[in-house]
Parts: sequence; structure tokens; C-alpha cells
Amino acid sequence: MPKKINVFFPAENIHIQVQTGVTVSEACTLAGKPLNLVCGGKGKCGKCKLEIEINGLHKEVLACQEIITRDINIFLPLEEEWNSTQILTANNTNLRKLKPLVQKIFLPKTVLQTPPYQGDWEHIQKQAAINLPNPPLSQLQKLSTICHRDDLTGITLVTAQNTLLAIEENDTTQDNYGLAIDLGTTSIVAYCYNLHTGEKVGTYTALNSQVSEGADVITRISAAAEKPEGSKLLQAKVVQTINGLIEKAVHQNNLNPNTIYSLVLAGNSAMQNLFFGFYPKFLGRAPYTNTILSGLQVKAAELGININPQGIVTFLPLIAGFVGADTTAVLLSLLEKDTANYRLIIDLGTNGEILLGNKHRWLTTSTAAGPALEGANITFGMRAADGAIAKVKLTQGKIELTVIGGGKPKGICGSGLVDAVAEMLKVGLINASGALLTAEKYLAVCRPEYRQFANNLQKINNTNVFLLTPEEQGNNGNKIYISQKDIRALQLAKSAIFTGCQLLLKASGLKENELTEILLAGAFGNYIDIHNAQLIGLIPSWGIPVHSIGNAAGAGAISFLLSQEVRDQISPILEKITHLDLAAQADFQKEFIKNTNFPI
Amino acid sequence: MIDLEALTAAVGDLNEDELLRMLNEFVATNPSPEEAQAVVTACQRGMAIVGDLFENGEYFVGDLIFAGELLTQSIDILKPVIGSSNSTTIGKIVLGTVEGDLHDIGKNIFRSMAEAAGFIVYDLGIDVKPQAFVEKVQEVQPDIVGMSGVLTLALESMKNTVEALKKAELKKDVKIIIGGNPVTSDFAQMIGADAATNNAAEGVKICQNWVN
Ligand code: B12
Ligand code: FES
Repeated sequence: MPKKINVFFPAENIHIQVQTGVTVSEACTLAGKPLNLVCGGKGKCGKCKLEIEINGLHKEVLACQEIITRDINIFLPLEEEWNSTQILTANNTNLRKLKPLVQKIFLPKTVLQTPPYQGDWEHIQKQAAINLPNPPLSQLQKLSTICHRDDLTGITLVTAQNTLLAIEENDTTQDNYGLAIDLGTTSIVAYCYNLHTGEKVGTYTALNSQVSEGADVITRISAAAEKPEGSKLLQAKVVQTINGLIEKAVHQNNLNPNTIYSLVLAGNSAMQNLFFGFYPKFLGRAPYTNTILSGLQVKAAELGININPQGIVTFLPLIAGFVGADTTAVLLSLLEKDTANYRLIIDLGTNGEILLGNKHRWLTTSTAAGPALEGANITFGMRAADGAIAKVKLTQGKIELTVIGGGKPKGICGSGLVDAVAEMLKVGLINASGALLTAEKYLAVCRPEYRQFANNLQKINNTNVFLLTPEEQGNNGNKIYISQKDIRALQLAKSAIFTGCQLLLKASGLKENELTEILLAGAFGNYIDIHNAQLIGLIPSWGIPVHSIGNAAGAGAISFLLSQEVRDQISPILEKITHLDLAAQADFQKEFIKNTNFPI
Repeated sequence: MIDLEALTAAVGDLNEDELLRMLNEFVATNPSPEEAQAVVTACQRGMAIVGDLFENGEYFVGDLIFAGELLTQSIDILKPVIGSSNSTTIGKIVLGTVEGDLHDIGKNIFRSMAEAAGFIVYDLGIDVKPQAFVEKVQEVQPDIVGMSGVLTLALESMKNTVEALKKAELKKDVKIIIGGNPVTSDFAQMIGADAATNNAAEGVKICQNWVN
């Protein structure tokens, strides 16, 4: 019999048993605390480092590489406490005329008197003045037992877009809940609504537990395509996270899960593929195809989603290739403000989705910025969690850092990185091509009030770096710095986004000044300093105002859940969108390389 | 006599003015083909410096492209004095971005630097099927096959391409180098390629060593 090994998580008070050969990261997953394996557990990124204790000896290991052979204590890093992770939930959904996706119709006993020799179902449809073809057998069976019962006040039909979902006893019209979900690669946000009143019940967030299979969509696609049963495994993980969110909503509001009949999801193309358990290989490489682009509606029971088994799960339509349902949702969220004015909309993320157009036509593209803005590939990069430097300012010889949670800095997140590089540019520590100066060269050119910064320029592992914290300040006495390579990674990312915007503008035939505004969607847009982002050439200036619109994808999913007008707009909107393939643009390379420079 | 070290340094510093001034002065002295060849070697040594600076991040993609252009320009200036016996062509490379991948910026940089170093490069473009590599190798009989790819999933295509070359019994006649951000030496070894690099300048150096 294989020996069982005890694994303890002292801080979380969890104890599990595993077999020899299991890695520390697998044990974390088994304990319900999946780690964010940025490189997919290949031992390359070092982002899974944590402390373990064996026989009273403490050491730091790479969780994805360390194999457990004897009893062990695992100390999860603080940042893995997901609930402290900042996720944007604010959005400005104005409630339209409420006509939710799922509607309940109550028929009192008095109208349920089926005339002799007639059919109950035909009678009910006539009474409700509604046509619901192909009712599910299970519900007709139920109807046969309750239609003629005297002890009921009547029955309630549960319908969605001209289909019958269920039949319930008595008047349950008040018990009608739905969830709109922004299914992100990293985090999942669920908005729970009372569909009877149109009121929001609550917002719930969790880390997508697929992170244990890699940080970016391509690593996830590889995991699904290469591992045996990979698609099933990744599907199970995301369903598990979503069920956890439903559980939270149900628990905190004393809801009966059977009163939830609808779930609407918006997410990128990879998330759609993995949610439905598709084999995603050809999305990850040329020809970048999806199994289905159209919006897909599936019974909750079929997916193992713990709402009413007759409930429906809707994934909004994808647009093309990597331009997914999150982009569709962004457009849905803007319907109310639909104008003839031209706007540029950027969803900043690992995959930047960009839209340019007005209410008559939209051009869209996706540009592969890579995960640098989420902290991957950056020496001290981390997500926007406790301990992350979120803002940086270089003033008269001083470095001012804003740390999330207020403690000692442990690393730097995307907004901090953008700030740091912008500030370093301003004082001349970095030149226009992105080279970090040596102390000697810097002193020769810098303004007198900025001379002190020369002390922070050092060489570590043969690479030039700029120290943000003197030794004592960082967590565990770590120096936290921005290295030349970090700046290079940011240059590739920002150039990919900027060049995407530029080529979209060119393809539209419009001029910069014909646009009225730039909108930033997604969490990141709310946190970054827009001015600094423009200074480093991450987003264009074009002489027009920039506004953050928050989690527009979430807002779009909500409006789909609540409004018939919005649902009716899906097909017309999709017809207005044209997808631009950046790889096919002859001038991409030239512009991309030029745009890696900083615009000073 | 021209200061070869200063020349190497001028290439390494990407100091265009200084480099062209030195080369033009040198050509004006009517040097022997041997002396000219020594100057070419000094310039190429400068490329190694560029490669090292790219390695630690001090130089970036734009600098690599500029370095390639500088070298081409230098060879053009030197051509009249190099002499016909010293051909500037040092070898042939069949190059392409592997099947399933459309990224080609890195590949194009390597091509222009390899050309500047004196290679004839047959560029098959992007999304190149293993069979297309095989056919081109049969046709032009190169010294080297270069494969580029930046998608994780492109690694599989590299493996397939090496296998296709083996099957066509061409592998023994060529050296294979793979490039792109995700490739590693371990991976090269595993699939039977001869070298891997994330640095175009280093790749050129490896190729030069192979044909010397
Ligand atoms: C520019 C870019 C694009 C451009 C490509 C334009 C083009 N013509 O190549 C566009 C926007 C079109 C694009 C699209 C996509 N991209 Co893209 N893209 C990038 C980006 C930003 C930079 C890549 C690059 O050019 N680097 C610079 C070059 C110079 O580096 P390099 O290739 O490594 O080359 C150097 C060396 O390796 C070497 N070298 C290269 N080849 C060779 C060959 C030989 C023989 C030798 C010796 C040396 C050598 O020389 C070079 C200089 O030293 C990266 C993200 C990043 N930050 O790195 C993503 C990235 C590569 N893309 C990615 C993806 C997934 C895509 C898409 C598939 C999906 C999408 N997001 O839209 C699409 C599909 C496009 C398509 N149709 O192919 C992913 C890959 C993830 C993975 N692990 O597989 C990345 C990493 C971003 C990410 N994490 O999301 N992309
Ligand atoms: S090193 Fe362990 S996940 Fe990257």
C-alpha cells in the first residue's frame, strides 16, 4: 500500500494526506488553495516560490518543482489569499426597462380549469397567451400531477425566450434570480440579480482556479490540448470556481439555488472554449479557429452548474479568433450611449482587445501584449494584491511608493510598473530607446536635483537595475528593483497595444482628431495613471480625452440578463463588426519596432 | 593603418559616423585584400559585442536591426577592396517561421543580420510546413536550417520539422538552429536540433562557427 504523507497548512488550519510523488503545488490544489503557476509549473518563472518546513527545517522552494516525500508544513504566501486581491466590480449599468432573460408567469387556480376532453398544456398556453413549443417531458410529467390539485393556489411557468424551462407549484414569481459572470483568465466576477425587481443582490469574486494550469490563455490552451483529458480537467476547474461563487451568493442571501434559473457569461475566446470543454488546440496556433462563435445556450445540469437543473447557461457570442465574448459584452454595455461619434475602446489585458468605431460600424482586433502588465516576466512582478507597489513617484531625490495594504512592499504590479518607468523616463534614468543608464552616464546628463537617484543604479547579475527600495525596506530584506529586462518586457507589451490602436485607426481611414474619446475597459484601466500610460506610449493621446469605464464586460453581461432590448441588439451589433488581422498588416513590423521606443 | 580595435568598438557602440569615417579612410589607402579581410573580421567581432549587449538588455530589437544595417553598409564600402578571391558569401541558410506560427519579427531580424554577415538566406516566410522545409533543403542544399517560433505550440512544429528532415535523410547534411523566445538548449537537444538561441546576434555567431 502506498504510504500516505501528511501535509499541513498551519496558517489556514488545513490538513490533507497525499501520496509520495505529489508536488507542493499539487498539494495546494488538493487543499483547495491553488497557486498561480505563472509559467504553468515549468520551474521557469519563480513566481510559485513559498516556504516549507520539514523536520523543523525551513526552506524556500519552487512549489511546482518540489516533490513531497515526507510530512511537511506549507506556508502559503500572503498574496495567495485571494479575497484580498483587488478586482474591479464597479460599473455604471443603468437599469433599462426590465425584461429579464428568465420570466415567471403565474396562473391562478381559477384559470386552470381545462375544458373537457382538452389538453392541459394547450389550455395553459392559451390562458397565458404565450406559445411555448417543445416543453420538456419532465415538466409535463410534473404538470400532470399538479395541474388539477386543489390545495395549490395555482402554478408558475418559468420561461426564457419562448421556451418552457420549468413549471412550479403556487406563485413563485418573486423567487427569480440570475447571475451575470465576467469570466476572466485570472479572476471571475459574479453579479447576482433579483430578476423580479431588477435589483442587485450582491457581487462575488474569486480567482479562476484554472490558474493552477498556467497564467495566460496560451498555457491553458496547451494544458487542455496536451494533457490526457485536459479539456475536461480545465472545464471542471472553472465550473468548480463558478459553483463556489453561486454557493457564496446563495449562502449570504439565504437563497434557494433552485430559484436561480439563469447564468450569463462573458469571457475571452479561450475561456469560452475551456468552459464548454472544447479541444482548443487550433485556437492556440494558426489558423486560430474557434469551435463555435455564436452565443451558446446550454442546460445548467449538462454543465454541472449548481443552479436549478432546468436553468440555462448562456455564453455571449465571440467575434473572431481571440476577440471574444468579453468584447461583445463591452459593446452591449455601451448601447445606451451609442452615438455617431467615433471612439477607441481598449481592453487592457494579456490579450489587448481594441475596438474603433461608432454606432454604424466597428473595427476590432486583438493584440498579444503578453502578461507583463500582470506582473509575469517582471523580476518583482506580481498581481495587484497585498504588498504590491501600485504607484511610484520620483520627486526631489526621493522615491515615493504606494503599497497595496500599506505594509512593506513585496513586489510591483502593472500600475506600479507603468508609473516607475514613466517617472524614470521623466528624470532621464531611461533614454528614448529604453536603455537604463549607468550611474556614470546618468550623472553626466541629469538635472542637479535628481542626482541622488544615481545611487540606486546598480548592476545585478550583469544587468543594469534601478533600486526602488533600499535593502531594509523590502519584505524579508529584499531589494526591489526594476531591471533593464523588465523595461524591455514592458516595451514589447506597450508597443503591441499602441501599434494595434494605430493600425486600427489607419484601417478605419479616420484621422486622430475625428475621434471624440478613448475608453479604457477592464480593471487595469481604472488603476493605471492615464497620463503616465500615455507618456510611455502604452495608450495613444491623439489629443482627445481618455475615460475609464470599469468592468464593461461585466456590465454588458448584466444588461443582457436584464434587458430584452439589449438581447435584441446582439445580432445587429455583430453584423457591424469587422475583424482586422494585425499579423496580415504589412506595416505591423516596422511600426511595432518603432513603437517600442518611448515617445520623448 | 586602421585601428582594428577601435573599429570593433565602433560597431559595438553602433557609432555610425565613426565607423563609416574609418572605413572610408581605410578604403582610400588602397589596402590589400588580406588587410580588407582583417577589417571585415573586426567588424564582425563588433557584432559579437552587440549580441552581448542585447543579451543583458542594454540593446533592444531596434538596435539589432540597426546593427544589421550598419554591417551591410560596411561590407558595401569594403567590397571594392576585398578582392574577387575573397568571396563575401560564407554559407547558405534555409529559414522560416514554423507551422502554426505567424510571428516573424524575430526571424526577419535574424535574416538581415545573417545576410549582413555574408550568408545567403532562403526565407520561406511564416507558417511553413515541415514538407516545405524539406523541399527547399533538397533544392538548395544549404549548410544550415533555421527555424523560428514564439508560440509555445510552435515547439511541436519544430520537432515535426526536424523529424521530417531526418526522414528525408537530410538531417546529416545540415546543421539546425532554432530561435524565438520560448526555445531552450535543452529543447533543442531533445528534438535533435544543433543549437537554440533567443538572441539573433548570438545565432549569427553560432552559424559563422559552423561554416568556418
Ligand atoms: C508582436 C507580437 C505579435 C504580433 C506579430 C507580428 C509579427 N509579424 O510577428 C501580432 C500582434 C500580430 C501578434 C499576434 C498574436 N500573438 Co503575439 N506577440 C507579439 C509580442 C508582443 C512580441 C513578439 C516579438 O516580436 N518579439 C520581439 C522579437 C524580436 O523577439 P523574438 O521573436 O524572440 O526574436 C529574437 C530571438 O528569439 C531571435 N530569433 C527569433 N527567431 C529566430 C530564428 C533563428 C534561426 C535564430 C537563430 C534566432 C531567432 O532573434 C530575435 C532577436 O534577438 C509577444 C509578447 C511579448 N511581450 O513578447 C506576443 C506573443 C508572442 N503572442 C502571442 C499570441 C498568443 C499571439 C496570438 C496567437 C493570439 C493573440 N493574442 O492575438 C496572435 C496570433 C497572430 C497571428 N495571427 O499569428 C503570445 C504567445 C504565447 C505562447 N506562450 O505561445 C505572446 C507571448 C503574448 C502572450 N503571452 O499573450 N503577436
Ligand atoms: S516556477 Fe513554478 S510556476 Fe513558474
